[in-house]
Amino acid sequence: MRTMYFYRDKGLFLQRLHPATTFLYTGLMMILAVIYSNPLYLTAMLAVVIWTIIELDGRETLKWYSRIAGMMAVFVMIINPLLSREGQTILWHGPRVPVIGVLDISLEAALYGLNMALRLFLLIAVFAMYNLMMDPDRAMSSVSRIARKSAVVLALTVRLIPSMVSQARNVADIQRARGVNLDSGGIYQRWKKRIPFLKVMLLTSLENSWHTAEAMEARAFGSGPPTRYVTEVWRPRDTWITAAVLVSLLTAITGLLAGAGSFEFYPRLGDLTGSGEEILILIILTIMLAIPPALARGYKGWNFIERRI
Amino acid sequence: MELYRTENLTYIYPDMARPALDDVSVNIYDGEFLLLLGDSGCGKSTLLRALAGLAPDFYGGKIGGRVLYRGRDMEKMDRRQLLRNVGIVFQDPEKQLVKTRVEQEIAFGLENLGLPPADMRKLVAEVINFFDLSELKDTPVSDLSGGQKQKVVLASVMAMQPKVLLLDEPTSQLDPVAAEEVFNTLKRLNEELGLTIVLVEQRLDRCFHMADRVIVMDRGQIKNEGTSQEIAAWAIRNKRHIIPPVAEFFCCTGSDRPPLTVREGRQKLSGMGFRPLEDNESSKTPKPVLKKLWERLGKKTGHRDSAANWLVKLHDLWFKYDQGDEVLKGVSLNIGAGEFTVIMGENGAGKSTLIKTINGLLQPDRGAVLVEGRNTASLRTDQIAATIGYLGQNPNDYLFHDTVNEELKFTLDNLGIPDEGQIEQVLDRLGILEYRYDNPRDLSGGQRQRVALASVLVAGPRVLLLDEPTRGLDADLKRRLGSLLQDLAAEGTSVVMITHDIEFAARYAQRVVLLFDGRVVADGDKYEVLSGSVFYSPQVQKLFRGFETGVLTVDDALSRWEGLSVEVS
Repeated sequence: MRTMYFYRDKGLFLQRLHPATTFLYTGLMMILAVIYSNPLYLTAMLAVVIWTIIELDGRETLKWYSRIAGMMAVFVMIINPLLSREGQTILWHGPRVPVIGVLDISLEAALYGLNMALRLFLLIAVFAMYNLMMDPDRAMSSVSRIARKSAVVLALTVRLIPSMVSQARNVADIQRARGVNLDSGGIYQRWKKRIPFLKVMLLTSLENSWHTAEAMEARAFGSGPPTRYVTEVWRPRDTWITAAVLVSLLTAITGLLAGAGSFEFYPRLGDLTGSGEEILILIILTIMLAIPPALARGYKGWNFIERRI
Repeated sequence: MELYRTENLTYIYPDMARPALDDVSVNIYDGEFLLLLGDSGCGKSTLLRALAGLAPDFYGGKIGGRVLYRGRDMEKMDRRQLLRNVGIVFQDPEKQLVKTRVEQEIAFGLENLGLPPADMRKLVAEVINFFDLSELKDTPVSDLSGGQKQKVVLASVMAMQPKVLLLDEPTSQLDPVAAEEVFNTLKRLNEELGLTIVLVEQRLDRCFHMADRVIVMDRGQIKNEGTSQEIAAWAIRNKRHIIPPVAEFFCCTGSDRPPLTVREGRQKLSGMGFRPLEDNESSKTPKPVLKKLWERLGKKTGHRDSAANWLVKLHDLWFKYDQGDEVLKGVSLNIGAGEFTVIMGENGAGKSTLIKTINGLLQPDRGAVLVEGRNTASLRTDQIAATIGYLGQNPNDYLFHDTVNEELKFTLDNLGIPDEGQIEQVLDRLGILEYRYDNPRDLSGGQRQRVALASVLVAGPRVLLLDEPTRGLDADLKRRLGSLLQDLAAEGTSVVMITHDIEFAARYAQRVVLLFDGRVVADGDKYEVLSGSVFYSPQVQKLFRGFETGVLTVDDALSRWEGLSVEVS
């Protein structure tokens, strides 16, 4: 179960993008999901993200995230109409409740809650998509261009986690074999029994850090300005997707200047479709954002495309 | 051509009174394979660090004399230039790896040297090829085995194209197969590339014969230097047990130019009067010495059979971790009081899993564990702890108190045993009484292990389980551990130990259990199990295969040789 929401390398097309491409694509999705309030726009983006997740073999992950997102969405949907007093189309007149006031439920507030839930769902889906697409190691080493020293610390930390987990297991075994019953007593007792455990871990990692420092010194760390070894490759697919992202970005900016993508809920619901321009922008945007999953599909389906991107 | 010269090199670590290197003058020549020997704390690692420029640059401390590299004073060399000439590999690969992926790791040193990307790509490609790492290049470092990790460390140092490779016990944390691979790589580097190699190593049976020259150090000084054969003869004359068994045997028979490998040794045996056995001339017609041996064997076997009350009885154990296949597949094993049993087998054979089921750290999926007749299924580990002591692989996992005394008292308090002088007794027995009020973390590796062992023994367990206790120990420490375990067994404690160290098993144990793929494939007296095996056998047994049966140790071999001389005269 747990492996489902961690990155797993399956050699998929979308996992073989340059980190910069992945960052651009998911970054734009995130920003748009926050900016847009029009449910049509949000729904279209959600459809694209779900398609991408499916292309990433992430049906199971999608189910898993949907459950969490669903619960959060229900929560938002219930809370918002209860607390919001701004809507004018009252569906149900409730009693007067202390602190909150009159408990009137309006159509606008209910729909606003629904929309917020939709946006929340979209954000979580984008996050899930990123997790399926991007190897955390690669993400980290690309980010490390900016701050090299802290990147080394970060790499060391990440590398140490698996070995510390196994060490922790050994230390716990040894404590038990020395007669400590780790699972009895009250909370205070249990914590007290874990102090030796933490002490061992701390002392050992302090000692190990000395050895690691020595090995790093022996491999010229800090001997002068370093250069960078790059293993990432830029393929035609990265150019295509980056181009698509840039077009989407331009479209989105043009649209936003014209007021496209926003939607008025209060005091009364606005016009959903708006002008024809707004629809046009939505269509262009959706097509552009759907280019990565479309390429992934083509990659799987047609040898012709596979060899050229 | 001379590569290194140290002139009266003296070095004192910060906060230490005694010099770690005391007036060391040594020459190292280009293309040489040099082996540095000596007991723990003799200064060999420090010498290596001085040659790498890490002492005093990294450690601080005081230095006297000079280290010259190609005639230039190392103190005056630019660090980057020095690092492109000298590479160093340390003991534990785990602590030398920095990056998350193999390819990135190999490039780490090159990045730090500030090489242009095109040069880096070429060097990384070459090294990945040479070390045959192309399949692992994108693997997360944490998924590699210990041997693979050390190979990656070696590759990443070699990527910097040093002219000299310094190695500080590079195989001490590895199993024999992985260690062999490291040595083979070193040999290739030395022979194919002419790389100068300076190796500090405890595992001599695999590398002693490879060295062009051997230097023996003691208390910061150079005691002797010469070829492997000269050093072997010298060591025997001076009663220093630092050389591998084959050379030791021939030196003890008075040879001045002892054979160093099994192959050379076997050629020499016939010249000494040993006759090859006929195929049908089996061990059933024992010579006088053998007869004695069989009697001894018989007694032991008889003793084992008659012991109706097994201390530990394992019946048809099956075990599987959450992921993967079954690790134990129907293991049955009985352990009697006072037995010294060694469990051997390849990595992943289930050795550690097996001993963890004995003290309840793991509960078998099927089958039963009986300790003193009681089924442990309903007991927790801490309830069995007073009867069964457990020494894990890493002694550091035991040490967290401020003094050695508290460390032992911790075990006693947990088990509700009052201290009636046991602490003093155990410390005295292990030879660490003088450190009773010292911080265990200030002690050396061998001493730390004895503190950990003391903290287990202080409870007076009837069964002692040990997981690879000889890892990283030098010859002297191994001998002390071996005789201690023998004494414990003689007093009635059952000792069950996992090891890859065949020589140790041959010398000290009584009984050997071979595990393979979760099953017991051999179990019996060490003379039965180890003599019958081709690969799982000590060097001396390999030497005598086809000549004599039941010869596992140098002492066995010498008594045969003496028997032979008696026959001849």
